[in-house]
Amino acid sequence: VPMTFTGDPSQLAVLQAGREQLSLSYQRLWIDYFALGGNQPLPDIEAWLTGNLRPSLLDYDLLAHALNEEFTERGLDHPIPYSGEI
Amino acid sequence: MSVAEVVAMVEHSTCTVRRGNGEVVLVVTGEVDLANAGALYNAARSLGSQLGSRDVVVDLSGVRFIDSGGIHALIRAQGEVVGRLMLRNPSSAARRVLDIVAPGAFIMESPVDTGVSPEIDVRVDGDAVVLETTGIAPPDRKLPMSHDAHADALAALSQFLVADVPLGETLHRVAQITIQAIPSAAFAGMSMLDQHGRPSTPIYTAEDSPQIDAAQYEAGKGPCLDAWRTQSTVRIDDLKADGDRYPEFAAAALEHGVLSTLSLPMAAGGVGMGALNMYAYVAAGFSADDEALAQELTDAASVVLANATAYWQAFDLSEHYNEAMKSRAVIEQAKGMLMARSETLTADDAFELLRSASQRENVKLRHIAQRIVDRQPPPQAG
Repeated sequence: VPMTFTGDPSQLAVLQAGREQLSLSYQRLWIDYFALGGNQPLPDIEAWLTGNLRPSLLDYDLLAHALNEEFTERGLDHPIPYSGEI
Repeated sequence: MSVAEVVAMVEHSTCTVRRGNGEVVLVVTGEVDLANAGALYNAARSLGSQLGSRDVVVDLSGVRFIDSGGIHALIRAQGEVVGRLMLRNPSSAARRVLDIVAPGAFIMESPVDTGVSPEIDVRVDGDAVVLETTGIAPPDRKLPMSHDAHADALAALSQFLVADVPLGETLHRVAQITIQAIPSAAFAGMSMLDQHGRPSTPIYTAEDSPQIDAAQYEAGKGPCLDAWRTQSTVRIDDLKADGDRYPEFAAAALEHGVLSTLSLPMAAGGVGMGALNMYAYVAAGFSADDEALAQELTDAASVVLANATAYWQAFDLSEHYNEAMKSRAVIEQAKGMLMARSETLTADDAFELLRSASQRENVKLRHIAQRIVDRQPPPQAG
């Protein structure tokens, strides 16, 4: 059974704020997540970011990394914390 | 033991009928798009006609990609089979498109053992798919084959559900088909939001339509707006007698010689997207039959609208999607190589190694993965 993200729900809001700051659609973020090996469908992404579902730790880190790679391209160094850093 | 036979193979997609364990299943794998949606439709319909009143089960677990055309092939087949058409285990790719294009349109099935083991021989004869059945009852009845105006209108419309033409043209064609199918409708128009978020009538068969509608948009009330807002049909049989309900709209309509109107809501996935409006030069121009037919056409138009959005969104993202597939493959391969080196390393651990290396070295994760894949395996110690 995969570990579930049990951290502060405000951490999920950090993911959402990152997505909004980058102006990424849920679809575009899902594609980045999928490119990194994520397996969950698009509607789950929205449910996690809006706090309606808890992602697994892996899914949390996949999303955090997808956002961080976009931030890195814009000169920001991994602003979204990973599950091990929370 | 189940056996698989190829029923139709068009480019990347295969439709296979699998029999055994007391069931017959249409298994769809690979990519279903505009090019081969017709083959899927034919396969599902042929199987349905062979199974008679029994349910048609379509297994979508192996679908890598399906677009709105593929979903529509299934919706069309669903309308023609005698039994139910049920979907089994849609892949996440199929589920995403189903959720956007046709939420709730299909029954999801879980496997059951019916205890009957029909035999089906499959033969591909040119473009035709032939299924010969033994061991199950013949169809209860012939498939309905009606050639009235209603069927013709829907058939004409179905060709535009998946056509590769801009949305405006498609909807305009829907409006034209509507006035052809409903003779008392002198002209028709569609109310929807413009790019500034205000109601407008961008689709019409005669300019009278946007001119009349402008009066209700200015007044903030009218039958098209009410149909749109309340998601219900608004019929006005006599604008002279019922004019006080929407005075501004009634005045504008009467100026154009319109005596009765019919407005139907356009909605997909529970979201109101606009209204289809018809205008007649006679009082009580629209019967209950007209209303029922118009509702079917409007539902189809709503699907066009939802479909077109999904279609163009998918198109915009397809380049990213192809890159994503490549990236994913490299990362999976690198994870596999890392796991092969250590018996205790899980796939999640392997991802974590790649992720932390990517962060530490400030290099994209897929490039770290590519390095691992490109590197020659270390010589065996010994």
